[in-house]
Amino acid sequence: MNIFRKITSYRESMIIIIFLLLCAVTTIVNPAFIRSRNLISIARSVSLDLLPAIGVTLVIACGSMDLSCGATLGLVGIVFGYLYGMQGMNIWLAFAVAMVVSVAIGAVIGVIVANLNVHPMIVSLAMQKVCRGLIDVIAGGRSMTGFSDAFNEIGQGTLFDIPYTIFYALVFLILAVIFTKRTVCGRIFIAIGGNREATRLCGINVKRYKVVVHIICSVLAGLSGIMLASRLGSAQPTAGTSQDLNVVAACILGGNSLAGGVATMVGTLVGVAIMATITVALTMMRVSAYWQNVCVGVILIIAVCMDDIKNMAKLKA
Amino acid sequence: MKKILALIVALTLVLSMGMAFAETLAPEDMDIAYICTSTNDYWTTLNQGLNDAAEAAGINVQTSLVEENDIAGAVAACDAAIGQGVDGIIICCGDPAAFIEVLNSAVEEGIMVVTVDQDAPDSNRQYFVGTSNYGAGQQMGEYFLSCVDEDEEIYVAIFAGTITANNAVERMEGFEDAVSVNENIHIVTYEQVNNDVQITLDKTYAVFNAYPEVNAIYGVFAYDPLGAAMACKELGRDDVIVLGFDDLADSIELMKEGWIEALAVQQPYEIGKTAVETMVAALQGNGPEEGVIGTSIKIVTKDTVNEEY
Repeated sequence: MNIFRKITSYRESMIIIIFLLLCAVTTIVNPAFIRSRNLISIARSVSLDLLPAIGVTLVIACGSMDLSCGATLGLVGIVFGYLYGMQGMNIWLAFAVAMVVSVAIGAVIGVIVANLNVHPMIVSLAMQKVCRGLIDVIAGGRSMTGFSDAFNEIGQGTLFDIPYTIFYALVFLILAVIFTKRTVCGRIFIAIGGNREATRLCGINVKRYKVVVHIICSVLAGLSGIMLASRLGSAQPTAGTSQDLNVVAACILGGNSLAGGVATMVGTLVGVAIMATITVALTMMRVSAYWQNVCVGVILIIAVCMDDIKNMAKLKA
Repeated sequence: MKKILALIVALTLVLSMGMAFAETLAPEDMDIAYICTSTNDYWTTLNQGLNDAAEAAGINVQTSLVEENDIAGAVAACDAAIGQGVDGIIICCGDPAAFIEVLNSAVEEGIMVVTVDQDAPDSNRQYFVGTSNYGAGQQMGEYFLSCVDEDEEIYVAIFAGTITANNAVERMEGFEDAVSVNENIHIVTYEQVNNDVQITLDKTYAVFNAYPEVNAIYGVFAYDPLGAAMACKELGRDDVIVLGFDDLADSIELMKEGWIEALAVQQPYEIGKTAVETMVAALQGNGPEEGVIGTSIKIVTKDTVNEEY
């Protein structure tokens, strides 16, 4: 009983239980779900969504919001693809330019959010539009190709049949956990989200940290965009269209609070895993495509409600 | 009395002349709104045809770009164009029912409406220019029949970027009706893949796991056969027949490598060009008699792709 209480005392425990339940039910209906190939495929989807999710987790923990990560991912991928693939620029120079674009996007959002009284949701939504528009301007609806085999190998290669992208994501996850738990900067982000005024009164330049957190978020989204371009062997103009909201949903699902002050990277990982697994699970359970969106919504509502009930019970105790 | 009669005759003549002039707008006076709802290769080419024809005709076309699948946004853009008092509207109707009211309003205001690519046949729009989606689906189905053995059990998964879109439904129906003559061809599942290559890729993996018997995939939108073929290539599934629509550059590459059996290539440039030409002619009182102007598809196969591209 004590072990059970200890396990369920963790913030992420309920969402992990829900995820395992989802996997268990799917496996019972279709045992092929736990085939290694299928699990690796799901893990690869998770790895591509995890980087922007880590960035959004930091932003939310800092008491802000970013709805442009998908659009940033798409734009940076297109910029990189255009310069390196279509124009033959040196890969490192193209990468540097793409990263400058990421930084610029995050900086614009961060500066506006930090210095003007504009809600970050509005700013990031507007930036989403700008990024999508720039994708149309640069790509004109076409994909950017012409990558070398060596570059494609980064996103398509495997080690012992495990895609490289999973290893990259794990490294970033470990770094993110260390960052939020062991670094001053990470702790300050969380402190600002928990109590902005108290943090300011402690002498912390809150505005500067707000800008920095948005830059980190956009850089992570940009890196994911380049990784996705490598994975697909081309930069697609439609890349990231579903990520803008799905990534935020994954972060909240994982136990991060929209009010700020909480950064659980493990929770984010599980949230992303649930989002990636749901549609695969529904396909494998042979749920009609017309019902899949309904089922995704219902599962998410149940997951969020169960997590909230658990947290409320903990508060009452 | 004679003076009154003469005045009436003169007024009638003047009004008639005025009406005749009103019926025939000079191209440089035509104000056309074009509402575009997508930005992939296909639409870029369609827009090119449209813009080239507009330039050649000397007309002004104001383009509004709406989010993909944002039906409400497209309807609002159409409403805005009506409010601006344009002479003509060219629009793709993502959902045939959702556009009926707004297109009827446009026609009531005396605006010439030409739908492209996806029609709203129950509206009062004057013209539709596009591929016959049902016919194209049928052609693909007939081609599919020719590349499978009659005795072989074939299990087909159908992918659609938006499974409820009118053109998707017609392409699926045409295909299914064509292959229904072969009792050994079974449609096992329909999957929505959101016009996203990565999602299509992941969905293909899931379909192979959920339906191990699947040995053919038919994708009705541009990114559908592309994502499916990418997955087949990664998995080494050269036993799976992939066919679909539109000649994206990536799809052509995969077809050359042998991962896509056939692609139905529409004529988007022709559609855009014909839409403008029809609009100009109609506004000058010389519009075609037929309200539906169909453009053909061409089937490119892995045997002919090197000659064509």
